Amino acid sequence: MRHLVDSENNTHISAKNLSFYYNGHSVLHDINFRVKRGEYLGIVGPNGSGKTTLIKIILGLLSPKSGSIEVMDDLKSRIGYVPQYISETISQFPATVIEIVQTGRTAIRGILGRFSVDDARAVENAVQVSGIKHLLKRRLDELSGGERQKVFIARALATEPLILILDEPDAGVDFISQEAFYDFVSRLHKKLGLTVVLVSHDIDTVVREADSVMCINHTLVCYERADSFVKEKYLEKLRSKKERRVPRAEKNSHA
Amino acid sequence: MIRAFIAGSVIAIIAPLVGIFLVVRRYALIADTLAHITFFGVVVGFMSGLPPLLTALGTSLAAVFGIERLRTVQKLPSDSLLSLFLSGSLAIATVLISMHRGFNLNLFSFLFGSITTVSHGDIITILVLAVFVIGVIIAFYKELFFISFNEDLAQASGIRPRSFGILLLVLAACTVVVSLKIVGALLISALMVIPVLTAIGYGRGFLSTTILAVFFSLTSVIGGIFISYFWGLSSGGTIVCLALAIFVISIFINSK
Repeated sequence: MRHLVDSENNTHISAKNLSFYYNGHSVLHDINFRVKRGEYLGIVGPNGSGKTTLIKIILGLLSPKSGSIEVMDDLKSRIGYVPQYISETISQFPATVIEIVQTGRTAIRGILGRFSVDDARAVENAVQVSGIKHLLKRRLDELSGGERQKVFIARALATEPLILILDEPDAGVDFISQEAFYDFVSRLHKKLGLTVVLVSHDIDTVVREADSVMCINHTLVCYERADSFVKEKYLEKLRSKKERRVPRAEKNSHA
Repeated sequence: MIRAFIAGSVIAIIAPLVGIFLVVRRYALIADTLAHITFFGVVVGFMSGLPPLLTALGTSLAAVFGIERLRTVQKLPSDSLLSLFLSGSLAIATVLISMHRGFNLNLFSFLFGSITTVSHGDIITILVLAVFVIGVIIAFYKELFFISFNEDLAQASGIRPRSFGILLLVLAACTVVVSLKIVGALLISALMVIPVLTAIGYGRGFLSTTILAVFFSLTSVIGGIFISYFWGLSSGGTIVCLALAIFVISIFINSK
């Protein structure tokens, strides 16, 4: 079930007893969480722990098998999303940066919709905020990993989002570009008041950047504020959960 | 000759227009599969007495929905499905041909293309289908571009990748049918793919790559028709050889 939450409520996303399984394998089991407006949430977990599946459920790409996910009213078109490994799937895609950023307006324009003044303004703002004006006429496959990530963020910002969802955004990006990228996301979070959901398997990055940290490994392992998060405690919980875990480990899943 | 130029120019425009979306989605083999299926449709047309281009269109559209259904419902892998439909349709077509030996010569023109067999009725069919293909691409360009770039992103934004994917295959089927008489079933996929591959090396964006691909395609088709007419060669083969020559030259220039 995927419901809409009243926009006057301070909650952007809320999950209740959320479960998802695939081919008989439990991918997510009894997940509960709430993302408040303006929160920077980091989701961590080992590879194949169900992080990407959770994001796909939030986005409506997958439906939970039981429980519910609630997304704030009218938010569907206001989620800026940067998918996993997108940077690695675009080799030889002959599009310019501006063509990619403009796809942020495709759904908003609707079928047969023209590119309006509002669309142009949203794209211009996204380009300015992201600092990619000098890249607009360049082909995407000519850019570095760091530059590409900024383009994908700009594309997400062109939707004029209230929530920014980043799924392993630093995959394939060098260390220096990663630091610059996370500084950039942090500025966006503070300047625009965006709710940010960052998915990563890098605990240190998430703890450094996010306000709160949610750890999952098919089930919810921990969910607490970043400043009180203790990595060793999390790793210990992860080990003990692994030993006791009832659901079969996910194989061939969407995660 | 005028008919051949009209039909050829129309094909030269629509083949890369559809082909660029297939190439960037790594689905270029669908053009070859549809070409073999349309050949089967042509054989059905000859046997039933119905217009071959119409039966070719019918069989290729039926195949598009069949492939898509097997891929999504039965979860069969795309490349194996394309191979199945490609070889299966050709096998049935050859069995049908061997049962009716009388129309072998006419079928040869559908396999390899022949500018001399383009009739007034063919021109009308080609123009109608071409207007449909170009109109749909202009109307849904931004959606087709988006799903070709990233299906997950498109779906998360509220675009339906599956619907537009099927629409693209329908356009590909129409393009293959339109091109049968000039380029032939065995060579049409080359015209949908080679000019696009050439243009990708030079285009500065998706739109400019598309325009360049149409330019390379027009050059190949018009040049190929001229050469084949004056030297008495197969039109389809000559057009594709010219497209290949342009591609090889472009690779050489690009590597410098």
